[in-house]
Amino acid sequence: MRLALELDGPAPPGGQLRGRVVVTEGGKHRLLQVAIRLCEHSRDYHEDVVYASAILVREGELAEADTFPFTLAVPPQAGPPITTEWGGLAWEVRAWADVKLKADPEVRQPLPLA
Amino acid sequence: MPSVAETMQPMAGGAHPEHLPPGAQPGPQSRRRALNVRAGGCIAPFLVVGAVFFLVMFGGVALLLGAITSDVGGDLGGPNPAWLGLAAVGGTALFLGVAFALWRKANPRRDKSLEVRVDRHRARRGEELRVTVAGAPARVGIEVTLACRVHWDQRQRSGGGDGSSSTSRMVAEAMAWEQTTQASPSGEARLGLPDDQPYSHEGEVISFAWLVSARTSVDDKRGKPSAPAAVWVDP
Repeated sequence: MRLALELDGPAPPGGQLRGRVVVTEGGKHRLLQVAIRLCEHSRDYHEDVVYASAILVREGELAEADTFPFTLAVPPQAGPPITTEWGGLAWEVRAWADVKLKADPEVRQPLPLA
Repeated sequence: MPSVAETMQPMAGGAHPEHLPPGAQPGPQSRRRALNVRAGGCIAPFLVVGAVFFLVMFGGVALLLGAITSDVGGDLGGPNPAWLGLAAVGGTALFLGVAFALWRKANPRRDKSLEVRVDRHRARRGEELRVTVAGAPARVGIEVTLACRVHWDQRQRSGGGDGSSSTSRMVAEAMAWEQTTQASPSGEARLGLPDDQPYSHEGEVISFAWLVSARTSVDDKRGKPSAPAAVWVDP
């Protein structure tokens, strides 16, 4: 299974992000989700925190070209990525499918901020 | 624009951390770090008690052995009292040194006569802050420093004597950026927030805080820094 993520455009912090997840290669799945998350990392650790998420479709068969629109609330504190020699952070949009006994297909994009 | 409190996690009770402006709440990493610093500060008095105990025990035994040896007038075959005395002094110094280091971490050196005020506690990158320093004696220079402090989680490895090793998660600190300017004789300064540096963030693994502090300077001699004034910097 393969997915693609299409976003309508940048959204302001505190606003709404609109887009859709497109299935580019079909298959069986248990859950299809999309989320806005903050990915932090230091030299030794990393942590991802989900701030907004939506379940797009539950268990079933996905066919190629199936499209699932979504709207997510952009956290008010969202900002551009920070990179330093000690670590950094980045906001991103991630869509993924939970597939039984296989690696979960996923697609990620930096969160486009207005 | 969301409020500062809106952008961060709530915290239950405790003193307000100095790296955050009024109304801002610390994130998970800052709460964890504050707990460690407070724990260190609490342990310090026990280490002082330990130092006294160490001194009394080893020093007492050294004195006792010294007295017996001088009375008998010969070598009894026991430990040399001089070495025991040295161990007493060395052990006590070690206890007191660790206690002082922990206490100093919880109580950093500050010039309490200086007070730094900023025109606002929230600004965007690229904007300018107006700073006023009060309490400096007449005819001394005043340096004002704007700094971005970074805390990041670090894995610290420690090895045992038997070859075993363990790791612990520590919060390390560094200055990501800082700039010092000379204030006017009346104690005023303007500081530009760089637009290419990190914005304020209270996180799980990494945090960035913006602080303004001041210190006096006479010729090349610089005084202790003041308590910092915190500013929340938005992207």
